[in-house]
Amino acid sequence: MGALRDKLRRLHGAPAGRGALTPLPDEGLRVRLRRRFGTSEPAEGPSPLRVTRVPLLSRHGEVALEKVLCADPARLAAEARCPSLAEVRVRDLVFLDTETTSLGGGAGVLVFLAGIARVEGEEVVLRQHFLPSPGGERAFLEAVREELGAAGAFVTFCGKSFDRHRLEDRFRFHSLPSLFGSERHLDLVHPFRRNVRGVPDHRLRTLEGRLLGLRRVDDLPGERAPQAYFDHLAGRGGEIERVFEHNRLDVLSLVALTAVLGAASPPDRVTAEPGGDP
Amino acid sequence: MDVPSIVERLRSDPSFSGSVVHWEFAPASAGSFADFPDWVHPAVRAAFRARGIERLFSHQREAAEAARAGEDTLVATPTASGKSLCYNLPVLDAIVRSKTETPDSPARALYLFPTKALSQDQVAELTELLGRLPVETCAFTYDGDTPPEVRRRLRDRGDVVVTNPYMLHEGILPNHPKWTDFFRGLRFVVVDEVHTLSGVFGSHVANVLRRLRRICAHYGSRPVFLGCSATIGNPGEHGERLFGAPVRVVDGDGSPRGERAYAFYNPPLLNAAAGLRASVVEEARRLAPLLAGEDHQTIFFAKSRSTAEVLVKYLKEGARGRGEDAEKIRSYRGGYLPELRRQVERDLRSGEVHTVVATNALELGIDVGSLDVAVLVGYPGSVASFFQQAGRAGRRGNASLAVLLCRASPDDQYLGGNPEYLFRARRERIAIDPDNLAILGNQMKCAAFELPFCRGEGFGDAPRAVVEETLDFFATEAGLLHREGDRYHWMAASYPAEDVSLDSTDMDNVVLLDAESRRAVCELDRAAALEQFHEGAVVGVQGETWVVDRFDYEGRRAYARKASTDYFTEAQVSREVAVLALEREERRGAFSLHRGEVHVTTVVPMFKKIRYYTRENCGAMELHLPPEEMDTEAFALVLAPEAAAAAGLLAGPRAGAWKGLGNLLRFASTLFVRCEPSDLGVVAEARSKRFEAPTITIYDNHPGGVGLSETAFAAAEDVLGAARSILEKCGCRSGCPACIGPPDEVGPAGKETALALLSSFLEAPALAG
Repeated sequence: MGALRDKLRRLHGAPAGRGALTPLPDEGLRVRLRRRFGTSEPAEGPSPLRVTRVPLLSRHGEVALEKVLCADPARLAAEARCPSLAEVRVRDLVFLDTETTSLGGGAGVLVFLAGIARVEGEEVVLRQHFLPSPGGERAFLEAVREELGAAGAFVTFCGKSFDRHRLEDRFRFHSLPSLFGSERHLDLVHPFRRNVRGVPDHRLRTLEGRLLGLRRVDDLPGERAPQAYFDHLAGRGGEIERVFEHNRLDVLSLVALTAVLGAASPPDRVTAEPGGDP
Repeated sequence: MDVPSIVERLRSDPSFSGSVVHWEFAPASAGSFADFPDWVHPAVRAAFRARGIERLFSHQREAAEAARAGEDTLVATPTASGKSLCYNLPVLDAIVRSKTETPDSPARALYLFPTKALSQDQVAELTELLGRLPVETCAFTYDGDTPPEVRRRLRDRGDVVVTNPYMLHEGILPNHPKWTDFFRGLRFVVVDEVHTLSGVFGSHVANVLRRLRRICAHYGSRPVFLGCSATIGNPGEHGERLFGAPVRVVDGDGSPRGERAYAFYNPPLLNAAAGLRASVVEEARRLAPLLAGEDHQTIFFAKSRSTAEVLVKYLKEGARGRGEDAEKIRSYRGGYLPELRRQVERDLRSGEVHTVVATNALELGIDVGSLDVAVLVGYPGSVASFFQQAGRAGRRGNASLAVLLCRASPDDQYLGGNPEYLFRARRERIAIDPDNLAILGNQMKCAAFELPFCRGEGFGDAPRAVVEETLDFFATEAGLLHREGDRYHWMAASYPAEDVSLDSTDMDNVVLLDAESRRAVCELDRAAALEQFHEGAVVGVQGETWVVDRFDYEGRRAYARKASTDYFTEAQVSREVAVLALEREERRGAFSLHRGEVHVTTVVPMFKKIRYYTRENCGAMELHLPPEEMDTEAFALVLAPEAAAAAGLLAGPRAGAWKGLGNLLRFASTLFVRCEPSDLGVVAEARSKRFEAPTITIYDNHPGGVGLSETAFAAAEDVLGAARSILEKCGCRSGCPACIGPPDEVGPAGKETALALLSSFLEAPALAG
């Protein structure tokens, strides 16, 4: 501080100019950081790819998954107001749902789980790509790209406003080309918002209950997925399995809702008879 | 009428010259010119020529050459010296060249103006220039009002993106993956009005620029930084701190100047015994026919928005009384809706309006052309502002006149008595501290969200050790970062830029609506709205008055109806500081020093109705508005009551010294914490509730505190030492605005008393508390 005082003395007249160096108080920097920003308490997890095969003969809620094979592409195209969807076979649809480190956007938000399903043979095959830690993000994204690359069309719920942008931001971050340039994207939220009346809202949870007769038991709410991932990274991995299960149900709901939307009867009639034709 | 004739008329008119205490004449300068550099693309030269610019001023050429050579540059020249050309020339040249020579990688530029209003002004001029180029270009403001389709276009192919620090901080940088092409091509970053980037706000902006550089480096670009500033005391130092790298300073003004006359007018004493003087607003009204008129353009600068409105009403009524067109007299201030501002600016440029009453909103680089006479209705508070406002008068090469009407306040009266002070005082230095731990840490959160940090990467020119320690702390203790190998990844669900405010002000304004049509009349920030949009408030807009019916504090709306009143309103503001917790204490002689947390409450308990012209108080009304509350950090200096009594502080001619000492300590603190005096609040009480003794409390004027008073507390010895040194070195005899305050305010023995108090502190041994 002597030097500082000298500097002041050298300055002529008054007011003396500013610009001296800020002296750090003698407490340790760590102590000041703790006081300023608070502290938070401070470990093998899931593998990067988990494959789940669900027989088409099984039900999701009260809807038989095989009904998706009866979905009429022309009807899907009309409901989604996207004519090019009419040319896509159901077996070329890719059902996509992601889990991210924040429900908002921005450069710091990572996709850590991408659930991708398609109909293969007599099964719905769900591939859940997982980001074990952020350092492996490029490999993770490349795997996701490869999986999505052959899609005839994407099926999502709110994907046009959310999942798509989160993935695109990450691709751009790693200088990987865009995937979502084509218009073949069936975001189910829009046709269901237009068609389904008499529901309090059009969240996936609500539509599942009304249209699929699905009751989730002990489901981890989506907004708790980020914390589950942070805990996993910090070695407190308790709830990460529940995120996988949550994501699995979300993706299967996409398949079942597509079956409902593509069925011969419009969805609002399905509202009256949950589950539809047994 | 030309300015020399106006000056002649004023000098010979005893009703004016009788109260002038000083005339100062600054000589004309012929200016120093230079040709366009050879490298300037012919199309760019033609674009400027089409605007009547055939030659450059020497400083414009120097700045353009430096920018072209890739040097970070700061231009610090007076008002109306053609600063925007300094950056537009190299930027336009780079755009035209890249579009014709390397169309796949066009050069982009980012323009930053301190406020939204200013950027919207500047984009108009820029668009006009760009429109003259033979290539297709895209320039637009990017702010909260930008429609989504324009946003996309700007992101993908904006040549020049014009924005403000808030938007860069919260909107652009955290979403940089959407701006990939823009950042890849970014060649120039222009930061205008850098003298306004001071204190805590400037310290934040310096860190936002660190983040910007970091993102550019990620995309492989290294833009050149070009700054423009009013004349300041330390352009090189400020530029280097703000840009994080040494800058080339261009401050040799080459623009021609006519002779400028300065008149210091001290209103006559109405009551010599009481020291009562005529009000400056009243004097401005009375002198208006001498200072303003149809044949030249005059700007009146008022200290506040409400004064501007009162004065414009007077001037319009005066003009009507003389049978003149009152529409040629307008007002201009912050809070007007953008269309109204644009219109007044246009009418000033075209000469349609001959008189404008403005606040300091017109001090910055809004293009209204140059006027003939500037009348400062009260000293604007700093040397730099004084010259910025005076500089609004002076058409290229022609004579101009600046008149300061001195208020009855101590500062103004000091200048009335010592006008030479302004001409010998050095310009204020701009202080920022980008390495302030609270600001740096918060900004590092934002940076970590944008791009993972690598160990050893550093953060701009912030001290490496502090950066490393902060990263490690965020990873191991705060749970914000996940460290993997040598990389720190952001690992929290929040969007940190949303929680980090650059200047602690609320960006959402309160809008005043016409209660009938629901049309917007004007707007204000929330803190000011408490004082000006309360129920019963009279709000002026262009001399017309509106009376507020209802103030919806939560909904940020006030409803008013047009009504002509014979009074205006003035709200009373009171501020209280309550100590919440004390953390540390030290004793020194009769003093004790404390650091802790305080609660600052600001209330507007009542307002007064004041009759126009007579200023007679015609009623007061109580208000029941919610208080503005803030918890923040503070330090307190407490003097034992016996010592205070012995020093004569409790009553009598020495009592004013304590308040003066409070203001001086606030200023001296800024020497050690690198902030603006306004970043710190001060309350000097003769007897505080908490300590039951005379107490000076200096607090961070930012919610939650940013460590300013913490640093000042740690450096208390130096702060008080500097305060003493300022008093000792000051040439005044018994106090002036540059030290403890003028004798009118601190009493005839204020300086001497404060010196004695400081010495008794500094010479006493330190005792542990």
